[in-house]
Amino acid sequence: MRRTRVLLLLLLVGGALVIATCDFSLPQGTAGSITLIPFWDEQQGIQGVQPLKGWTQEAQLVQDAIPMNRTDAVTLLLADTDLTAMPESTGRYTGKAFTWDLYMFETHVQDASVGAVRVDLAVAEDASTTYVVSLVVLPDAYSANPALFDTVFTHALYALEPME
Amino acid sequence: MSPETSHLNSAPAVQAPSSKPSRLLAIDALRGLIIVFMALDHANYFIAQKHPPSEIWDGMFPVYYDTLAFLTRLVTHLAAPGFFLLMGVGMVLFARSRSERGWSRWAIIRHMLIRGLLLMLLQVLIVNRAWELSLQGWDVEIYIGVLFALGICMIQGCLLLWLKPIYLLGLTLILFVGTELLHPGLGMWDSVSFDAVNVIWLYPGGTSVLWSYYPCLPWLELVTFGILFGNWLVQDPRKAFNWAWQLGLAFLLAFAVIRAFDGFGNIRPRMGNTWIDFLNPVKYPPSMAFTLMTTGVNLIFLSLFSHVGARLRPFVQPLVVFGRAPLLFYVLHLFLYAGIAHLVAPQGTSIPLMLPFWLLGMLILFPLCCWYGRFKQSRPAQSLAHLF
Repeated sequence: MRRTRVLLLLLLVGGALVIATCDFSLPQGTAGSITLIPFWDEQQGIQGVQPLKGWTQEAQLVQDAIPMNRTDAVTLLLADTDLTAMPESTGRYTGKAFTWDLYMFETHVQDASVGAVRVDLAVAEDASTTYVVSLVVLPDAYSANPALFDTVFTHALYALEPME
Repeated sequence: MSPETSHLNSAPAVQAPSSKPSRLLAIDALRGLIIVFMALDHANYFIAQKHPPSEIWDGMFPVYYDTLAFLTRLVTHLAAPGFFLLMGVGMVLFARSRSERGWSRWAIIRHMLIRGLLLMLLQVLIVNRAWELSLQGWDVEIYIGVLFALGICMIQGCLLLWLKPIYLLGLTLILFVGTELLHPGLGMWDSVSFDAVNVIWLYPGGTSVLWSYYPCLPWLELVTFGILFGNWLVQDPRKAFNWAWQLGLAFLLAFAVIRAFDGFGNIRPRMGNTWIDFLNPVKYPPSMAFTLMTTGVNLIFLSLFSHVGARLRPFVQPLVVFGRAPLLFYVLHLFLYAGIAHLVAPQGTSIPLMLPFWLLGMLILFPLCCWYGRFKQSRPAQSLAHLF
């Protein structure tokens, strides 16, 4: 018992010494989680999840239901980019309501000070509507936090569905 | 209630004196284990300041992009349901022990009523002062936390102690399903009333004046199940611990099925289809999925601890020390971690850097718990020390 007490005391003092020598100005790292909140857009007839307002200044998540077929919707989307045609799809993602075709490309935006942005785009359709989710991020921001952006995008895709 | 309605008075002696400590060891060891996990959660909250938002029935919900952050939260989920479950078990064992010493039913009930009230008062008067020390800010005037809910559940539970096991099982099932049926639906946050009755009894939420994460009724199911399990323990400990193992596995299987279907039993749908989303159910109030997942694991741990022999006992003993002074640990650790945060990490730390502080906190509290556990055991049954 005495030995246990001595050992505990040593551990306590040792622990305190280790902690006292730590440099707590070390980078804190990120929180490891991001907070999503459900949304219901009655005008577009969709529901899903989105990050809290102000989650980042460096990215924008847009979720739309476009009441036209896929070809017309894609033509409309491309008008806002440098692209003349959609790039090769990078894969598919199955969410709760849709199977999404995924695309990734870089393009310039109208604001010249921003320069190029990275766009993750997902497209799905049902009988009369094309659903589009895009995550627009500054390339530097994406390379600094790829998992974070990926988390937001995939969770948005998973949850997006027509309103009940 | 006649004496035949329960095992508290009518069952044969629990076990031979030589084997009695091992039964208590399993329960105390599990309580100690969940105390250690709880401390991790609170060190994450106070010191690292990386605690995710609550897994609540409506509004914000956390999703994870860092496995360590998720696992740090996941293991701590065992704590709250474990406390409610073990409180039910402990109430049966306490009543049994005191009735063997000649206490009347009323004396047992009176003791539990006082202890329940004491827990509620501790929450409001003492524990909430610790939460107010949070460096992330604390805007709630009156917080209904786990201690308050344990207090109410003890007051209610002590009136159920002499119910027949079949009625306890029925009540547990009603509460288990009722929690799922009674909570408001997703998107109703702005339309429900957060008056005192609702937030103390029915569903989590509130205002800056009164906020609750632990409304009493949804958590009572674990106390009634604990009382039921306590009755099994009193009747035949070996059988009860075997059931614990089997029930634990069955609970985990049921959890997987409910989670896979992602409908009834989840309170709100999964946020995604990763393994992390699968293991990240609604805790406030405890969804069926959450209760099955955590209670399944807790029962398996309980069964494992019941098989600890003399060789492994020294490894489990530190948990038993914490498990025998839970209230003292609970109150002190909150102030301790808040104090450490103010002293060494006012801006927060990463999760790995928080871990030594978590361990340091337990090292500091270990001798205190050791002393208090012994002190409590040395006091007579009527001593006030048994209230803490």
